[in-house]
Amino acid sequence: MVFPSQPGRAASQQTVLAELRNIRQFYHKDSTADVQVLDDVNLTIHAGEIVGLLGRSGSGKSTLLRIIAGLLPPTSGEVLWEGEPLKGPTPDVAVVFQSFALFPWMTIEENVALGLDAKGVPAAERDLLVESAIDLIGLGGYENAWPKELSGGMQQRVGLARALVVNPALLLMDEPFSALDVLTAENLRTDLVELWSDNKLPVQSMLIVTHNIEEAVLMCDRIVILSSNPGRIAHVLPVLFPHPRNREDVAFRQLVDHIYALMTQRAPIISEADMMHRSSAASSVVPGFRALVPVSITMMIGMMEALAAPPLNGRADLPVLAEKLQLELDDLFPLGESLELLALAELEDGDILLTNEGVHFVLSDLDERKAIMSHALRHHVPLVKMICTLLDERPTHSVKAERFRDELEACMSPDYARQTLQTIIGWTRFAELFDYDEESDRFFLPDDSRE
Amino acid sequence: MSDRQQEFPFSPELCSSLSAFCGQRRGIWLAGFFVFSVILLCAPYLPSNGPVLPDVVEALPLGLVYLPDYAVQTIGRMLLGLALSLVSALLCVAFIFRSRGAAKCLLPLLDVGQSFPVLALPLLVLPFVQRHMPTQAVGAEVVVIVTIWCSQFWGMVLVLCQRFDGVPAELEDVVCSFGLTAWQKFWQLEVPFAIPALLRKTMLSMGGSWFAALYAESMVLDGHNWLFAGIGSYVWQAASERNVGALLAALACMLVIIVVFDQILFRPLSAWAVRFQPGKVGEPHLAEPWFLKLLRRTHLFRLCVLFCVNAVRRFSRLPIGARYTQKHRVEGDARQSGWIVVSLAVVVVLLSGVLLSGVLAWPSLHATYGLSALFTVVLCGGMTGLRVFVMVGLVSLIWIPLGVWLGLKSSYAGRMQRLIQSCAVFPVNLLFPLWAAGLVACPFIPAFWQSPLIVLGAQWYIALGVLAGAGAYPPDLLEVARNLNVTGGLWWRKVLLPGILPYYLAGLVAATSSAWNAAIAVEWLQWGQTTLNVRGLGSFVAMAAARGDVNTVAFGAVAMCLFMMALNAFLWRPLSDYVSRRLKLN
Repeated sequence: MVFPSQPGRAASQQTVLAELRNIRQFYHKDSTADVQVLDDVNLTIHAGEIVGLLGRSGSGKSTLLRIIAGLLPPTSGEVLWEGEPLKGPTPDVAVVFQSFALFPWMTIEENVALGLDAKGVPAAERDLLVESAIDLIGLGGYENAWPKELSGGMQQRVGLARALVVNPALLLMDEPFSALDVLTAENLRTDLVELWSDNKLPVQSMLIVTHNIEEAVLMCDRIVILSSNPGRIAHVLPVLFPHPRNREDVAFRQLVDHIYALMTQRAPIISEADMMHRSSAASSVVPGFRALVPVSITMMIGMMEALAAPPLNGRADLPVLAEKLQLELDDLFPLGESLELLALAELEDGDILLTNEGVHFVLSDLDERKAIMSHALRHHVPLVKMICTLLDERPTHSVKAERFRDELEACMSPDYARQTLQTIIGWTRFAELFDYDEESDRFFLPDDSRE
Repeated sequence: MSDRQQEFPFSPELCSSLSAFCGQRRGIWLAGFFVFSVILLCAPYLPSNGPVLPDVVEALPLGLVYLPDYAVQTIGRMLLGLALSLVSALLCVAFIFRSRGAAKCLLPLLDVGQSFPVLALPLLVLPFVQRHMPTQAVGAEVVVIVTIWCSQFWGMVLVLCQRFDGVPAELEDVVCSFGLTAWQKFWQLEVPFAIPALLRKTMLSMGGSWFAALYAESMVLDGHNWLFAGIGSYVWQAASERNVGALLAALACMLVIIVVFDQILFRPLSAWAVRFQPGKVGEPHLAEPWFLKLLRRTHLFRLCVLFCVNAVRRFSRLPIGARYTQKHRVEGDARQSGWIVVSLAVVVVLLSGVLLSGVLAWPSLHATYGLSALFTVVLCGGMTGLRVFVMVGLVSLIWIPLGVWLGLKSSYAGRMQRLIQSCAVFPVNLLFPLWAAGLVACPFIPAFWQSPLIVLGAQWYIALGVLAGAGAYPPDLLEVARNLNVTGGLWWRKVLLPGILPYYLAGLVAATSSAWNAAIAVEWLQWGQTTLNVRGLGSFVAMAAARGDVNTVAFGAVAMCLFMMALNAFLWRPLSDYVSRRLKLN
């Protein structure tokens, strides 16, 4: 038995499958203000397209996927599935997970059959469907293996087969290739695109969440770029190249560069009318501290040194730099942004360039570097400034970290607050501004820096 | 295929039942207050001594011919007790995870139950059973089975809670997005995920269970009207007749039982449970125990097994219960506030009920639980506590160097661990009468020589902990120390001890609670007509039970439980928090 291919996929381009209207999502917290994850997201998914959701960590793209899947109710806004409000997971939507999410105590066959069993499909029919899904996705012969016997790529194929076997209209994929090594990921991507172009997949549409720009351009018909904190739809780009696409194609490279530039743009200035509108929706969002992504000081120094050295000489194209340093987008952007925050580098049109301060830093010895860093932290990171002032004022030269954590939590989730504080501690330790004692959870001035 | 045996590591987080699930710890003392008041208030209404009918009592025959029969009876009770505690633990955990209200009530109770001395249970339940069915042995069976149940139930629920709480979020998402019902989710996701940890916990508690079962069997026989057979009763009868030969026979019989349990039940189960652990690619295969091989390879058995597997699969797929929907959650939130009101009301009603009956029963309470009794209990508790800590400390002095030496020699480590695990399962109360015989035979030995018995069973937990810790110690760190020439005291202080401390602590916690519990059996020994006792909370309880004074038994049991709870709350929990924060190697 073969899957019934979805009726006239190409013809039904205009059929709307899922529609999101004014989706807002707040992170719920018991004590203080809620933190906004998604803000006013409107998105329509049509039949016959592959949509890519591209965004950085913290842009709420996985949250958005969970909302479309019906796993998470949005705080406000509406999700329509084929015109009807979505009340929970529907059998027409299947999800593929980043970590594969296979049950270790079920064989491949049983894993694939899970969705059918839940539906109560009769055994004979179930076995046929499972068989054909397994064959389609290239897992024939592995039916009786246990998940732990398979490599990552094979495990993700099982995840795909499990999602496809229930014959969903929409396939949601949450960073499906990011846990795989480069070669395996490429192999699986190509196979998937080939099945899609040959009309062999029993789905009408796919949505891929990713942070890999090339992957998005390689696979998708439409790319939706989310901005971060809170996540908003920043840009929507159609990709018109026919499949199979060639990474070395000039137009392909240009589009990739263009997306890099779009993603490094500063946040648009919000008009006053917008402000009014926003404050009515989220009056609790206080402009305050920024969430910092964990970026180690050694990575920052390494990046600056690489930038300063020839052939880059202080300025580099981000995609080129990413390739040179073998960094993923999710590592590169936080690095660049942290340097920008400290005014050691600037991001501009998909390029990164060192500032005078940054060049000075690279040319200095360790003690001078510490001094420059200390200066930069005091001037450009409000939280550090606040902690330093308090430490200087206190006769004991020590202060509880908890109050700063509380202040951070007023404008971000506890996880981000913890992360931010950790990052700051790492930086200030390098700059020898102040130290932190884990046992007592206090910041303090080291003896030699007290006056 | 390598011949590596599947063995369950003595992992720190599993043994210390202290690693709190959720952090719902607010209600322990309230729950404790409830339970204790109910026990103390009910105790005076129990009869002090059952009506002993004069001529029905006959001695249990000690012939070796009867021993297999007794053994089979004991095994039957153990299996029944295990099955009961498994089923009730599953039910309990289903309640906890399906209803917030149940979780609020049951979680604090768990902590209290966990700290309750199992050996005091038969002493408390017996008078009640005796009054209602004075001549039927069924009553005695119930007492023994309840004791076994109690020795496993709390630990099982705790492990299940921890595992259910730790179910990976993506698997839960898969289950939700495919629309599995609550029943299907329970059997296909949550229970399988918990199986390995549950099995490990059960295997580790088997020693305690056998101990409790044998103790209950012997107590049941003590001066009552029924003829009750079992290994424990046999030992009791042998001790009261000073029959060393029979004692040795019982010992051998128990060894056989333990080997049978290990070979037929736990070995195959633990090899099978590996399937439920997420593993990595290319892990070496495990040797298949012979019994599992028999089940899997023999045609007839295979058919039976396949039939069972299919039946279980059908059973786990029954579409019972609700599917996950978003509406449901909103309703749940609304219902939750209702729950809070209801549970608050229940708490208030119960509290006032307890207080009222306390006031009403004050005169009689005052007489039994007066200030002097309180003083005695605190003093006895202190003495038992001192005994436990001194003995556990002494045992540590032996086992830390020995365990480290064995654990670092990887060629012995596996075999030693298996040996010690089997030792830990052996119920040491079979040895107590022999020890007592020795003490009686040499009257010049001072009474405190009775104390070592208290750690006879508990020492294995420390040994296992140290051995596991040394085995898990990263070899790189050892090589660094060797490379830098760190030796002697510095090596112990800076290199090794901090690394094994989490494991040692887990063993220490298990050992202390097991020793504390054993005090009831240890501090009051009988050999023939001679009674040996040392002062302590254990002998306080045991003596009261021998007198038939249920009030005092209840009082002593409550005191033991309170001591344990205080120890957990004020010593072990802060200590293990500190250790896991500072010293855990990943």
